Amino acid sequence: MEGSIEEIVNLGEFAKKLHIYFRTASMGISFLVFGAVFGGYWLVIFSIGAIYKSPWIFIGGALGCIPLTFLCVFLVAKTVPGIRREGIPNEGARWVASVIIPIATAILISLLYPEASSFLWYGVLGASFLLVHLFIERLLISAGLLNARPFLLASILILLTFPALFLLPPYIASMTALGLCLLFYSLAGVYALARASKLFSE
Amino acid sequence: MPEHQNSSQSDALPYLKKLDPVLMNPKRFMIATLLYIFGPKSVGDIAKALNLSLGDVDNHLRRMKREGYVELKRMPTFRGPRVFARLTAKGIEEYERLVDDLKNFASGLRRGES
Repeated sequence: MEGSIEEIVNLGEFAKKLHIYFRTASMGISFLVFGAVFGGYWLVIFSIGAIYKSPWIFIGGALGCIPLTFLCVFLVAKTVPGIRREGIPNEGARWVASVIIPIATAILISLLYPEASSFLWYGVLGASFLLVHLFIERLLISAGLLNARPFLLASILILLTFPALFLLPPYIASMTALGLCLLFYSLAGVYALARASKLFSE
Repeated sequence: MPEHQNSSQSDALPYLKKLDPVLMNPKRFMIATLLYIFGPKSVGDIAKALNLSLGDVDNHLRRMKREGYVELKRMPTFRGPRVFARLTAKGIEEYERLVDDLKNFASGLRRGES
């Protein structure tokens, strides 16, 4: 009997590890998918914007992010099982706050410094990731549901490199921001996947 | 069978009977494990993954639903509407508690034998 109980315990423990593994891995894959899809999308928008020089291209591009977000969520859900998991209290409101607060701040800053508006999104993204870490990621880690801090890593890298963009001409700064963004998304994604796989080697 | 093993088993039985009666069933435990690891799954996928009949899975899921361990929801898919099962917060909590209880119990048994 002890043997069969032992087997049940082993299975349960393995299930617990896999539970955390999939949650952490889905975070890593999200960074890779969102980075690749949004990076490619904005490269196309920047290219069209460089040809036609109309602000409407960027406004349309920003609106296009809404369906693109749903597409990315769908793609991540297709690659990682069990993405729809139990959350933390008011998780939806926390996500919205993490996005709205930096965007509202950015709008205010771009009114004061219009020359910075072409790469301000980069700083907004960094601030937004930091808020996601504070409002969501930290709680998931303390609840033992996550084994990595990709949002914190990405936010630190973005916020540390953001001031350097002010030294560059606006168009170069926006392209550099996009390149750095893709690089840091990849780093955060690989970091989360590496941390997830460590669950089975510790 | 050695006598001390018999006595440890007779001590163990009342304890095991006190554990969660919903999940202390091999098929329901496997269903809960599958849902715990992979998240929501269709009834058909659960049956296929665990090599159980659809009727069997349906019966066990109904019992788990009655106890508030799972939620059943009909959802549209590319292959037509399917019923999906998902562990509730209570289900997740009870599953983790059972594994912890059994872990303590198994280590207690080991200590008793040594």
